[in-house]
Amino acid sequence: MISFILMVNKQGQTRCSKYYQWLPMEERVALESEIIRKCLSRSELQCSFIEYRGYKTIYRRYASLFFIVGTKPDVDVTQVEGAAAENRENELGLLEFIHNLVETMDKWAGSICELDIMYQLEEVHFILDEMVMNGYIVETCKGATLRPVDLLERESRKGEAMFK
Amino acid sequence: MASQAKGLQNFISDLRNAKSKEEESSRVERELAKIRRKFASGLSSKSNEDGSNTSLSSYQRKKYVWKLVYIHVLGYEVDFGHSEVLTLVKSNKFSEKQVGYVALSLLLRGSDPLMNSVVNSIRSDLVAGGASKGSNSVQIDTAQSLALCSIANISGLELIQALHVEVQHNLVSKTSSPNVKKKSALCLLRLVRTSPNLFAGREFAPHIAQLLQDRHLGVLTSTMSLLNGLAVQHPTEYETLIPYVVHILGMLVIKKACGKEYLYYKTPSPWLQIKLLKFLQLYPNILAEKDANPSSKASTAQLTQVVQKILTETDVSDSINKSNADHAILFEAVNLIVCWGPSGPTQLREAAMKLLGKFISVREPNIRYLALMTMAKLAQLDTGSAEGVKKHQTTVLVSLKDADISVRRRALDLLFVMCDSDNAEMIVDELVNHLVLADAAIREEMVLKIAILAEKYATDLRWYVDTILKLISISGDHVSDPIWHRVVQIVTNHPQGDLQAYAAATLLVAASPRRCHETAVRVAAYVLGEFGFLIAERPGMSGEEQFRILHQHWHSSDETTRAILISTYAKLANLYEECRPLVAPVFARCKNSVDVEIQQRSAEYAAMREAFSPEAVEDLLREMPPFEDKEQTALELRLKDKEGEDSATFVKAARPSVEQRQRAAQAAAAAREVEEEAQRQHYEEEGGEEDYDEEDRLQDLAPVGIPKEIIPAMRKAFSNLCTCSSGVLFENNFIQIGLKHDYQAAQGRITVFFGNVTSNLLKHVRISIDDCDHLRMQKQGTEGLLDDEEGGGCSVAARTQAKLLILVETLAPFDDAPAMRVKFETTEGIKHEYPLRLPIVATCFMEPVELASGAFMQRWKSLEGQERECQEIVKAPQSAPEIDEEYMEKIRSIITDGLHFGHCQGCDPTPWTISGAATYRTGSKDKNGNNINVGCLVRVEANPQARAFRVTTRTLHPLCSKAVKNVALVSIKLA
Repeated sequence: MISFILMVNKQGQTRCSKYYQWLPMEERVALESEIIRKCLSRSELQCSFIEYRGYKTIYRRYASLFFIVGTKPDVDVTQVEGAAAENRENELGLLEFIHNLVETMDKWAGSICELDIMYQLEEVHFILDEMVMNGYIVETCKGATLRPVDLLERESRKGEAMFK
Repeated sequence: MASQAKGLQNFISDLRNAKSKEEESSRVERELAKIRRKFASGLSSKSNEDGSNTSLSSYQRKKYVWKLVYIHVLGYEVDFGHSEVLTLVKSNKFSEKQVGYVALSLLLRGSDPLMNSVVNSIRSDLVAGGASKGSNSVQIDTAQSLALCSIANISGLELIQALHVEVQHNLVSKTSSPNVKKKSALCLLRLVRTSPNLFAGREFAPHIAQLLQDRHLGVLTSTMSLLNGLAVQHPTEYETLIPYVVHILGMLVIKKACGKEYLYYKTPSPWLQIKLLKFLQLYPNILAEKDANPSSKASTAQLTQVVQKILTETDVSDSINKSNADHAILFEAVNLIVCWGPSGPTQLREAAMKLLGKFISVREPNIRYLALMTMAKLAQLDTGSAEGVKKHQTTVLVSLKDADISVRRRALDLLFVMCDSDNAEMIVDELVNHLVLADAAIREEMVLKIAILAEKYATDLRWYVDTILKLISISGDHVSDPIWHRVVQIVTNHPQGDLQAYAAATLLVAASPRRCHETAVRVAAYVLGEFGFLIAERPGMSGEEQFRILHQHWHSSDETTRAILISTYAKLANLYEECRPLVAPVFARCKNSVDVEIQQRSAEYAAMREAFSPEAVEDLLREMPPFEDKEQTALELRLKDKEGEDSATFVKAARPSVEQRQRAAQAAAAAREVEEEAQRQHYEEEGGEEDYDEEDRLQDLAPVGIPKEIIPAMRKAFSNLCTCSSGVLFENNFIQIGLKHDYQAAQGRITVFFGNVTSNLLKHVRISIDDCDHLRMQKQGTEGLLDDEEGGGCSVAARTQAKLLILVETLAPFDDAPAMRVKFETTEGIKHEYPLRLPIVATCFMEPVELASGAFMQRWKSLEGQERECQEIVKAPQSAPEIDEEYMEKIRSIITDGLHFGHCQGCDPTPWTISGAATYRTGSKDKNGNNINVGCLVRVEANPQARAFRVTTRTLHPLCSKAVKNVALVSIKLA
């Protein structure tokens, strides 16, 4: 399952993070910084997968933005058998899922950049919530994903704006 | 686009402009303080029952909550404001609700007690969409989605248990919109995961079947996630759904029936296809079922057709995205084929193998990575695939040197999995070679895997010991305790052959240099303590030497190593008289150690001799009994921790190899033999002498070995014989073994006499001599003497002898002496078995060479170099007189008569040096048919003040240098 999604700039600062498994804050910060460091230090010629502390991380770089998806074996098997299970995620599938996410965000904000994510963090979250839930891909069609965001805009035009 | 709050904008800008982490955090602290103040102001008068502040406007509340969310994302703890979030969730306004739910799922943990107060609000959203009256259906729908989303992402057990009825209803209700359905599905998945017993599986299958007929691909995608979660837990209950899944797969792959919006670079929803294929992997036997009904037959036929199509029609396209998506599906299809294993169609398996073989050498790193990973799974299958994988061994070895650590890891895994009896030696050697260059990140993993493979596939356990030693010397820091513990276990548990002696000798050599890794010291210390006595009669490996070699590491060792060393010292001191004065000061010093373990051990060992009887001390310091063979070794457990139980590598490690089974069988057979032997003897005694006492009977079970008290005398006799042409090799109350030997160039003639010194008959006298590569031997003896069968052998009457004649020819330099086992039985039926060594050492084959001083010095200089030179200092024995010219004359005669070296008089400037030269003759021929010879030079320099001698040997062959040095040292010590 997907355990977290990160959007990071090339200085290594996290611009958006979403976790699907609860981690204490210190652990989260440590994990993020280590994984980001590893991703940033890799070259174009190396593969897009990193294994680190039981996570298999799939990342993709878009200009100055890194999109990082961390996956883990499904939770239930861990609990039932008391042993670590095989990670059943499809690596290339997630690699293309990142691209699908980026295309969706492009459709929403033109060409997506770090500033869009920073200043419209709430909408990024809405989009992410539409695409991934509970650690699994739920929707991949761009139109369907962007509907709640469109709805929000319509609402704001009606005078019930997000911030007013 | 929604307009942003100005305050929030400013805050984000400030953070963006922060130049350092400190600046950022101080800005965050300031903001947190401000928000806390805002939330708290006027709280006493105007707060709601749940503690939120009513004086805040909707705008303010949203703004501050967003700031909190932002701060949280940056990695700061946010531990207040939760009640404001709940107020937003409960709001009737859509915009507030949305902010509330997002913040809820980010900031709060499912188990938070505050969650309880919001359950009802979420429930009303779930049921009808609690948005303001008059809101349209879109809004209801969205509110429902929001509620579902937050439950799915964060909720704890209480929340989902309280709401699961509503969620389930939403999923199956005909009126729910696709959006709600797909979110409900993943919501339920969370329930299935967290409390599987709450969820009735069987009744739910029909609902899933109904959902699988939905046309909406979003619904299908999330339903498949749910189904995968359910079917993992109860595969049989969802087996009926296979035809539905195959049908959908057929639609997507063969008919390409898919809405335009779900096409991803012209591929019909790759993610859905992946999930469908994943589901089918849960049923590895569907193709094997012969008695299937026609409908399921049709579906399996369709399935193979689909897989076939994926396999053959996937191609690299111009668009990397299209290519990736297609290959994602392809790899999943290959996974399915791997799952089917031998029950799947052979041609599919072969096609998959061929594809992977191609992929592991492509340039695209992602594909290479995945191909290596998948191939490891395929190699696990028993059916011939392993052979197919082996063809790619060279390519995989290349990947082991890839620039990318992820790829290297996969290559390592694959090598591990494809390793078997045939290629183990090569793969292990290759891995060991690569370990030298491998970077730190992967070393530990490599060391662990090499250790497991070496143990699994060792046809000769000596190779295993050597391999682990190499690991220690290359990468000692990564050789964890379980690895060296395992070496000890294996050596202890396998007394067959001369593994124990070999391990002791090898480890002694490994620990000889001043600098060696601490782990090597630990293993050496332990093994020498246990089995050091087996090699004590070899030249240069006496108990004293063993102590000296181990003790040189004392100062650089940590507490754990020292504790092991102390136990070893105690064992050495027990066996060898001459070690006692050396060990005593160490114990005395350590009695005051700050480390409790060391203190205790040394105090106890020091006091033991006085406190107990000699037998009790003997018992305490006896060798350890064999270790219990556990189901899973510590190494396998470690691998399991690291990689998971299902991983191909672990499955591999847990399966015993042919070699391991053989070894286990051997050990069991040996144990059985001992038992049967004991039983047979038991019967014989019962029949023969009925009044045999119980105690004596117990003693008979194992043959009597060499009593420890005569070991020092025996070693002395052996050393004497190395330089003398005749003498007594062994003597006790039963038997006297005398020996005469003379040599001519590469050949020697050895006569051994076995004299019965008792007044009774000795029965079943048998001799076995181990063959070794460097000596060619011909044996001839009194009839039956060489017949090593149980019950065979010859009888030697009182006061008579049996005779053995051995003709040897040396083929290569060597530095040990051949082992000889002497077995016999007394008339009382007590068995004796003595492991001895024949004094055939390298110096026996020397031929003296007379060299003029100029020639000697010239050769001496030309043989300079680490490998060729051996040097060691030896003290004159305590009892010896002062070193004077007479004494030097004695040394000279040792060199000339004992070692067969020619004395080179001219090159000794003072009476305190003696130089000699000789040729070591072997029977091997070189290319031209001439015998191969090795030139040897030796120099002994005396220091009368220090009562010490320095022995230096230089020869063309490292083993020769060592052998000559050892013999010279021992002889000088005995002079």
